[in-house]
Amino acid sequence: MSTLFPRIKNSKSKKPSWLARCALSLGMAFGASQALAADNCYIMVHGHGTQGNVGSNALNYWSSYNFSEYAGSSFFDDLLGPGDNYAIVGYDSTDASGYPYWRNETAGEIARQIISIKQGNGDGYNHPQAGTQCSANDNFWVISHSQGAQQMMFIAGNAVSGSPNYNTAYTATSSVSVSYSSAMSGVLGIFALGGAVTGTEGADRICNGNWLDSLINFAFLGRDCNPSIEWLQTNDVYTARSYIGTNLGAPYYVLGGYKGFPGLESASSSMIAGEDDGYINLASQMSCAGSGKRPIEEDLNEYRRFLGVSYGSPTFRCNNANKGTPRTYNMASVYTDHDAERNAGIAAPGYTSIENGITCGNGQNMAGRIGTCTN
Amino acid sequence: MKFRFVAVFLMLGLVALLIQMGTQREGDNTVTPAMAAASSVSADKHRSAMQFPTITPDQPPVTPTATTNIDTPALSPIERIRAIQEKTALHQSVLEDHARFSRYPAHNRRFESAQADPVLRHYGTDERVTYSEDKQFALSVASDQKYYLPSQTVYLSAKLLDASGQAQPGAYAAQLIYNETVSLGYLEFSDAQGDGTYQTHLSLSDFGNQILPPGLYKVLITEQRSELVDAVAFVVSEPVIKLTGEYREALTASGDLIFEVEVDVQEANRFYLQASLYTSSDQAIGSSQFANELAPGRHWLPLSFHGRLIHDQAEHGPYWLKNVSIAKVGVPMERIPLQQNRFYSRSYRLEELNDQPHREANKEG
Repeated sequence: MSTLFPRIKNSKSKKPSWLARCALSLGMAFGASQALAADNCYIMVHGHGTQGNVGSNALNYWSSYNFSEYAGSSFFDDLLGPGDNYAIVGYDSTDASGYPYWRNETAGEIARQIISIKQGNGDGYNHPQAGTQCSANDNFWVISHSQGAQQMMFIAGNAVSGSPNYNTAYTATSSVSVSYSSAMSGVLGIFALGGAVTGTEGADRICNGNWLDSLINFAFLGRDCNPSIEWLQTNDVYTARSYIGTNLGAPYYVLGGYKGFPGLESASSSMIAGEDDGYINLASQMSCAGSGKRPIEEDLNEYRRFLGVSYGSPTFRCNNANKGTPRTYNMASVYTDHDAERNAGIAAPGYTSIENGITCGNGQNMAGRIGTCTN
Repeated sequence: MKFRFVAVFLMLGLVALLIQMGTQREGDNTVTPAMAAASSVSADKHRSAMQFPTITPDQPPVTPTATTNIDTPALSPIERIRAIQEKTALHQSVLEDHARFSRYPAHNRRFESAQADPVLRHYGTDERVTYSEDKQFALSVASDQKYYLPSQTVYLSAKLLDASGQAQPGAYAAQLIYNETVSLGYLEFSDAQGDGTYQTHLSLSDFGNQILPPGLYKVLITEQRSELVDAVAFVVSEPVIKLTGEYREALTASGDLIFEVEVDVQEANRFYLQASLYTSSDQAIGSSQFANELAPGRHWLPLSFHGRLIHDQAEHGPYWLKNVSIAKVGVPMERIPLQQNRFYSRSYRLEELNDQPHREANKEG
């Protein structure tokens, strides 16, 4: 187990220069495939506590912060290179509305917006970065954070014929048809950043009535066990993996954080089993088989412990063969917290080598890793 | 990076030629829709050939070109990734995933061992451990199942562990909650064996002289000495569908194996059938699934296993439809307790099975 702390400057140098682009364009003129000309389109699915269907809330989510250390940072600064595009998905994930992941207002709305984006309709937001609206011919990747990852698991896991909730979302009283299969068709990959794939122990504590303090910033989670929180609990009967079929409509790459929150809020980690990003167990973020609160460490292994110290060989390894969901792959275990995951507030976080990890972008934050690995 | 791309620029002619060759090779290996159709028999065709029942499966995933206004690029998304000359580790992973995914129909999934059996995993129970802030104590709680019928009894256990993992005496209080909102009563744990493992049970058909209705239940467990709290949650499933115990199987003209499972439906709903296939020597092959709306009455439901999936285990028949799960779809998902069968197919030889990868044209992504 080796934790590395490289000081790699996160710059756009990972992207092709103008000279390279000229060469590539000329290459096409000579009859080369248009493959190299396709731009990336990153479809952004935000997490809990955002009224993303109103104003620019969903866009602002990716530069909002709960800790002043991260003020001024934006996920897109480290994600986008020349030619890259993005599209914002907005839905209502507030406690006031209280929609669980299987609702038409959450999974259904996300799927419909993904379909529209893939049709080249744009996302309807004024991007601060000029010329970054997606087109229909782009290479589509979905990036989800926190609760967004749970909804993407439900969508992808019901996009395949024969799945239990194939193309189905729920209202308060009935089910409705939503074409998850169309939403997932042609999507090259889904990235889950700090994903509540198998819930969060924070939701357990709220719904079990022993959330003893207010250390957690409640922008992430409300105080009451409304249905959106209820369905974020870690018992398996609540989790998305119990509501999907045996295959996903697109590969699902997990990136987990294992740094506590800054300052006093770092105490939240002491209430969570195993490593965590201050809010979500690493086992849940990485969609490990077994309990969503199993005590895995930053190398994604579980060990015997004596007096709080790990020893011996792993008793469980959360590698690609031991995922609790199908078609799910390790990407990275990064020393970052739940807030910095979405605003890229930590420029060059440390990381831990993990089994089956994907090494492109090592040393960069989650946004930078995705930008590097997809280009 | 710049030097690399300058080199690309100077060697442009060679690069273009290589890309063209690569594209040509890709084209040679690509299964056209016509080829795919020729190598694949639809579920409808299966039933027609074998006079199987009239249940219509969900429509397969549709391609964007068939249902949307997405402009059709010259290359599919996955082909564009293949054509990238300097692939990242992620690009390689996407291609490898695509090769695995498209090898079989999407309703099939290969797994290597019983431990990875997706049917069993839905029923497996997890020991849940909650640690004190100073990590000096841990509360471990578990139930014997996740899904119950109203006629069954729920068995629960709890133990308090010290920092060395040794069970300690505890004092437990437990509350039964229905659908997260209704408190139904309290349970008492006791340490009958004197080993620090405290247990209790509740009869779902007789809890305080009432029959507990189907739904989502939680038992909130507090260990008062450590003040640690956790909950065990489970589902009581309404028995509106059951397996009759009748099975049949046949080999399709294209060499895929179809099992049929008879169910008896009491109430119309959408239902989900899932099963895993093993060799007669108990080696894992893969899983299949089927979901649809069903009216009251008896139905034969199909579970298709692609020939290539069975070939990849490289063992002759008979094949064992070992673990079968049926569920009433909804929120919560009401799974009927797992049924483990002794139903085997006939002794097919591998040569009788389709050995061609599936590679559907609509799986580009």
